[in-house]
Amino acid sequence: MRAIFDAALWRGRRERVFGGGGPLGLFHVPTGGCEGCAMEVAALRGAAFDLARHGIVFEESAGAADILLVTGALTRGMAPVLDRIWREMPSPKGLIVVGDCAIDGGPFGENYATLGGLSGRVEIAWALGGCPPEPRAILEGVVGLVRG
Amino acid sequence: MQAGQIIRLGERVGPSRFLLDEEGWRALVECASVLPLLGMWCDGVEVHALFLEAERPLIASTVPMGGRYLSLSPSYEAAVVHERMIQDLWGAEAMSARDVSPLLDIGFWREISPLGVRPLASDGVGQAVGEPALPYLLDVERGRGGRVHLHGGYAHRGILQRVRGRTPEQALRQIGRVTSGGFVAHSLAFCRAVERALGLGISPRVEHARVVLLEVERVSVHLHDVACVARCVGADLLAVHAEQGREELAEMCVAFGVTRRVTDMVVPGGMRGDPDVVGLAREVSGWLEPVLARLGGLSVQAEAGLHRLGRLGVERASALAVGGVTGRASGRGFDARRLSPGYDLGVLAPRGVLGGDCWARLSLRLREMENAAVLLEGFSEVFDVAPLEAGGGVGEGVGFAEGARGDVWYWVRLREGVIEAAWGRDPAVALWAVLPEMVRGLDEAGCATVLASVGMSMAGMEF
Repeated sequence: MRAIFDAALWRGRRERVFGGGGPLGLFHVPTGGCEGCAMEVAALRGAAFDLARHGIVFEESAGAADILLVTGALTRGMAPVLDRIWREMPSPKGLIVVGDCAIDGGPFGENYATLGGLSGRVEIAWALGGCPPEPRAILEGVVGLVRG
Repeated sequence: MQAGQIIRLGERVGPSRFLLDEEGWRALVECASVLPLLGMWCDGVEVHALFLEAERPLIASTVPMGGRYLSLSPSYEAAVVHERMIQDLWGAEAMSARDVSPLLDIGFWREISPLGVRPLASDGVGQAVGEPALPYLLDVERGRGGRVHLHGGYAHRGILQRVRGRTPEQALRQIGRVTSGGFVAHSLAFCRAVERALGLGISPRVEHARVVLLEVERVSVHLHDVACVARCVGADLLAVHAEQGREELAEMCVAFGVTRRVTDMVVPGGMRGDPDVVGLAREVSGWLEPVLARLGGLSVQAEAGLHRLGRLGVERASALAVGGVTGRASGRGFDARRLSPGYDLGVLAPRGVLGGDCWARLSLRLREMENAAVLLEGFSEVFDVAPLEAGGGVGEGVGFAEGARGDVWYWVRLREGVIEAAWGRDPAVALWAVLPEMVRGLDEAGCATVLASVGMSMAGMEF
């Protein structure tokens, strides 16, 4: 797991990522869980929330993204996938986690099949709890990051 | 002899459950007549198979000898996915099985046979065949000659292990989060199984609240699935209205004392809180009419991109017990709501959308939301059922609910107030066998459209 997140790379570059200049590109990776938070992210991407107005875009490839947005408890099978995606992203880059599962596993803490959440394992720029959190709360949090 | 007769020749060991000896199980495997097979599981001691007989549950059980039992898969294709899961989770091997390859355990787990009597430690250093496509966590491998192979194992959370030894109330923390396509449906099916096991009777008021929330969830999930399909084929205006509608529905739920996505509302024996379900039913039924009129008008945007895409025939849907919109759009009419009291069966009747393709599924979702509006209008007045019969109260029970994506089933066995063994079935599991033929020859975009149109949930499939 240490290889997934290069904390040293992230430190000190937060300002460059969130500081301005062009829209903030998010890449969403669901890593397990009930898909509830993923549905909320899908709702956020939908018409009810005008992301472009807030300077936020969801990218279709990790290579084009500034921020990795993770939802769901991290299953052991998804850990190497997440690792690969993180490595694919250009620096500087950051990680945000959405939902209780992505933070600490929520109802799906560590067991034979899951690692639980990312909290305490890697450096997280911003985390939003909830089960699932509202898309508006996700939006407000990300906008807060954009505005510094 | 019919399969149901063979099962009933076994020793009755639970409500609708019969224990077959080796000879009886073999007779079931070799029987020319077959019943729809919904699922199979193990409890560490016995292997169980849940069938539908005249649309009622019937369970056959057998004791593996030396960790092995005779595979049902030569007669039941639907058994393949379950036998592979049983092998991964409990270590029981199906002899003469069509497929013995791992399905859930792709090498990353820290235990081998984690639900078995004696799990073994594993280093968990796996090597997946491919990599899952996002957001489905499903790897669709296109092989030679157009053959398609599915690889999973990325979404499994070990929920059946997590709920063992917990009280039903504690277990709802996990069961209520099996899949977002069935927050209500999974909780309700599980609670019904628990209530049967405990012999808990349910008041008509509670049943009323539950069916209202089940219909509200149906509308919410259908709107989500319609939007996803519409986005896949560039029908953006249709998607916009479906997405906005789903958010409006969430706000309505909150206004009437229900959580936004109808989470955590059902508990064994009752409901959590005191939501105004009558008011919610009235509000949603009135709100739906203009919303559906708009969606219906806009749906033609998507028609050309969905026609003849991802077709599933009635024979395959029936053979694999594919339920929900996907089954009904293919002509398999099963709807578990018909087994529940209080529904207007005329409203539930299929209405001629039988093409079996992505367009049929989208059209049927719109029809089902129309039906939900009618049902909710009825539920906003009276709920005319007698107090529901208490279950057997013998410590084990089966429960079901017709969720937005199909029939959800649970079996539980309780001992001294806690769960000794449990099993659940999400409708996604029936799609595993038919998806390869549905996406055969399609590119990634076509494949994604089909997955969206069946509402594929690997969280439900693998939980």
